[in-house]
Amino acid sequence: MEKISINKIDETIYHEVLDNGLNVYIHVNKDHKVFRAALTVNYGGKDTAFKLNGKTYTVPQGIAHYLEHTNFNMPGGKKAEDMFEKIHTVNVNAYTNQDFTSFHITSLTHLRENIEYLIEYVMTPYFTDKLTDKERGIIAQEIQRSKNNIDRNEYYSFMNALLKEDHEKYTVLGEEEDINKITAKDLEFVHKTFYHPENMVMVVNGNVDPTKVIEIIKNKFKEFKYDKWIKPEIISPKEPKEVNQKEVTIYENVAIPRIDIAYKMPRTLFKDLSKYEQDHYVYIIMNQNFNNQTEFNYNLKKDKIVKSIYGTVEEFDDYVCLYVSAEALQPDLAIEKIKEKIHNLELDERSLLSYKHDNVSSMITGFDQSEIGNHITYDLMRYGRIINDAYDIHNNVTKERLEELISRFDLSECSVLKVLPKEKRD
Amino acid sequence: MKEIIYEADNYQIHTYKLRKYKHSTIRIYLTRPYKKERAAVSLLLRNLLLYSTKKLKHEEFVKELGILYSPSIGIRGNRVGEMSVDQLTLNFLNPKYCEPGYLRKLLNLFKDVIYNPNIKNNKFNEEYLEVIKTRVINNIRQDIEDPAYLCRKKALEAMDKDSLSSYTITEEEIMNVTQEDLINEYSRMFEEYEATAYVVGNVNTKQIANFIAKNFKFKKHNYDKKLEYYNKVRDEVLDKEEVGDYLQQNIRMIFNIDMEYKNPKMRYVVPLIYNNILGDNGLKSRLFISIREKNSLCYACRSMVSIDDHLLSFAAGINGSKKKVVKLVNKEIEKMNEGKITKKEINNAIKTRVDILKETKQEIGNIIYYNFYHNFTGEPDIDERIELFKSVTVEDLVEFGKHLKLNTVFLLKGDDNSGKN
Repeated sequence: MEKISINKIDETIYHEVLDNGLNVYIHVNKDHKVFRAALTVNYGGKDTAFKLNGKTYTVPQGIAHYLEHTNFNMPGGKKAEDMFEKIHTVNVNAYTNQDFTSFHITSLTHLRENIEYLIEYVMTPYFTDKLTDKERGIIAQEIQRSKNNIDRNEYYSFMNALLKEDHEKYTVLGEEEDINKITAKDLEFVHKTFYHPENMVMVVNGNVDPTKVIEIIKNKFKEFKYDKWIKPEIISPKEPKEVNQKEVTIYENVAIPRIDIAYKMPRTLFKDLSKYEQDHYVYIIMNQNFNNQTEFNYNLKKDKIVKSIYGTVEEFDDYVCLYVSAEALQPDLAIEKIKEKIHNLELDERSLLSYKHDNVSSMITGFDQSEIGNHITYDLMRYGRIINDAYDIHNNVTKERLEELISRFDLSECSVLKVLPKEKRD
Repeated sequence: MKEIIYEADNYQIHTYKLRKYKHSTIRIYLTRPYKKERAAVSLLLRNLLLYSTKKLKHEEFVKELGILYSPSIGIRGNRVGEMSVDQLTLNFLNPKYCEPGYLRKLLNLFKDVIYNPNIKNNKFNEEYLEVIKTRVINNIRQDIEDPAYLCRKKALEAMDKDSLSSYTITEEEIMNVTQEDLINEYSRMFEEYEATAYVVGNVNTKQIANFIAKNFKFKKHNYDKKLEYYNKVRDEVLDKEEVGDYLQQNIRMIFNIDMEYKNPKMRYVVPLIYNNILGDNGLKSRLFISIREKNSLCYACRSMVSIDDHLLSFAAGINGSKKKVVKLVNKEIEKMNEGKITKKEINNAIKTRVDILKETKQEIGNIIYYNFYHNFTGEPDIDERIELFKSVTVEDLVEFGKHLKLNTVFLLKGDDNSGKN
C-alpha cells in the first residue's frame, strides 16, 4: 500500500489501486469514534454528451442527479436505507455536483457491513419504469424548491452570463422538461457506462485499519464482474474566450440587491503553474484585496455602498476567473468601485502573513474533522491527486511572486450580474 | 477524562486536559434573567465588542486574528426558558503548532475584546456602530429571502405575537439604540452576569485558568432559574395563510406540548425519541415516508421539538394540497398516540440518539455543553442521558403524545407571478 505523507503536518493517506481499477484512499484518525466512507463516480451534472465506441450520445440534463436518487432502489422492492437501518448507520446520503456523484455513509460500528452495503447498492443497477416515474415527482419538488433559492438563481444566471458553451452553465438538477424525458433505460445505460471501478474512487477515513479496509473492499468487489472498461470520451464544447453577456439583470425576492463580477482569463496565461496553484494563487490575490481586513472592504461598508463583499476565484477547465460578489446597497456605484479595484490590485506583507497563518490553521485542524474524507474526494476529482504539498504551495508564495502573476492578468473579458428586488422590475 | 476545577472570584473554571484534538477551547457561560426589551442593545454590544478593540482598529483586528492562526472568537446570545445563557468562546490552534509567545498574545487579545473595547469619551466608535446597525437592519430585512425561515417566523407570530418564542428583534429597536444604552449595557455585563468558565484541550489548562481568573471578573447572584417557557394553548386551531412571492409553498404546523415534565426522562429524553420517530430520522421518519415517499407531496420535510418552550413543529416546502399534508401529519401523530409504534422504531430511535451522544461525547464543544447544563439546570449528564434513552417505552411515548395540542397551521403561499424574470 502506498503511503502519501502530507508535508509538514504529520498526516498520512494510504493509497491502493485494486485489480479492478478502483483507487482507494484511507486516512486514519484513531481519536475518532466515527468512520466515514464515500464511493464516488467521476460522472457529474455537466457530462451530458459523450462518445462511446465511436458513437455520440446525448442524455438529458439532470440525469446524473436523477441516477443518484434512483440508485437507492434495490431489487425486491427494497431501498438502500433498509440495509443500513439494520446496522444503525448514522448517516446515509449522496450528492451530485457538476463534476462527480458521491455516495457516503457515516457510522460508529459495523465497518465491514457498512462498506459492503455501500458498494452493493451503488454498484447494483436496478431501474424500473415504475420506480423511475415515482422519483420524478420528488425531483420535480426539489427543482421547485431550488428555484425558490435566490443563491441558486443568482449562481446559474451568472454562469450563463460568463459562459457561452460550457455545460457548467446548466443546472445539476435539470429543468422539469429535462427530467420528464429521463427513462429507466437512460439511467441503466449511464450506470453501465460510467459506474465502473476504473472510473471511481473510494475514500475511507476515521478510526479504521487500512489493511482491513482494503481487504473488505477487495472481497466485496469480487461479487461483481466487470468487462474491460471502455472510457467514454466526454464531449466538452470549446468555451470561447469571450463572455456570453457583459451585463445581465435579474429580478428576485431580495431585500438587498446583489452583484457578481467576474473577469474570465484563459489558463494558458499561467501555463507554468499547476491547476491547483493557479486556482489558489488567484484566490489569495482576491482574498487579500477584498476580504474584511482590507480598507477597501471597510470603506464600502462605511459609505453604505455594500452590506457585504468578498473576492474569490471561480474555476473552469480552461479558464480561471477573478470573482467578486457583494450584497450591494448601491449596486451601480459598487460595480464601479470594484472594477476600479480590480485594475489596481495590491498586496502587503502583513496581510499575506495573516492569510498564510489562517491557511496553516485550517489545514491542521481540517484533519481533526470527519469531513476530511470529503475534502480528499474533492481534490482527487478536481485535481486528480492528493495535494500533499499544499502547505508549501501556500507558504512559500511571496508577495513578489503574486505581483508578477497580477501583471499577467488579462482583464478584457468581464461579466456583471445585478440581482434587483422584484418591485424594481417595472 | 479528569476534570480539575479552579476557583475564581465568584465563579468556577472547569478544566479538562484532552490530548486528541489539535485545537482547544475557552468558554465562559454568562447567565442572567432574559429581558426581551434589552435584546437589541445586547446584540449590538456583542457585535461592537467583536469588531475592534481600543488598540486595534477593525481592519487591524481582523488581520491580527489571522496572524494568530485565525482563532474564532464569539459572543453568542441564547435564551433558555426565561434565562439568558450567553457564551463567550475562544477556539484556537494548539500552541505546539505556533511560534513562542503565541498563546500569551492570543489571551491578551481575548481579554481586550471584553475589557478594552473601543470606547472613547464614554462612547463606542460612532462609525463602527453605524456600520453594524446598517448590517443588522439589513439582516432583518433579508428575512424575506429565505421562505422557510420567514414561514417559521410568521407562524410563531401568528401563534402568539407576545410570546418569547415568537420574539425577534425589529429594525425599529435597532435604530433606537443609543450610545448611552450601549455603555449601560456594557457595564451591566459585569454587574448582572453570573459566570462559569471552561478550558478544554491539549494546552496548559492551569496556566489558562489562572489567566481567566485574574482577568475576567464577574459577580455572584442567586437568580431564580426559570428554564421553561409555557406558550398559551388554543381552544381552536388557528389556520392562517399569507401570500409571498415564492414558487413553492411553505407550511409550518405548531403543536403545544401541554404538560409539566414530571421527571428528567419525560423532559430530556422522551420528546426527542418521539420526534425522531415522527419526523426527525432522515429518510426513515414516518412523516418523510408518508408525505414524500408515498405521496410525493414534498422533497424534504421534518419535525422539530423545542423542549424548553414546550413546542413541537413540522415544516415542509410543498406543492400539493395543504389539507392533505395536515391530514397526513395528524394521522401519523394519532397513530403514534394510539401506541402503534413498533419495537423496531423505538430501538432505532434510541440507537440513533445514543450513537449521537457516544459519537460526540469526546468532542470539546459537547464536553463543555453537557457539563455546563448538568451543573446549571440539573440536566442528566451524557452517561445518565444514555441510560434514560435506553429506558424509553411505548407507554412513555403515548403519554407524551397525549399532550400534543395543535395550535397553528400556517401556510406561506406562492404567487402566480413568481418566477417571471
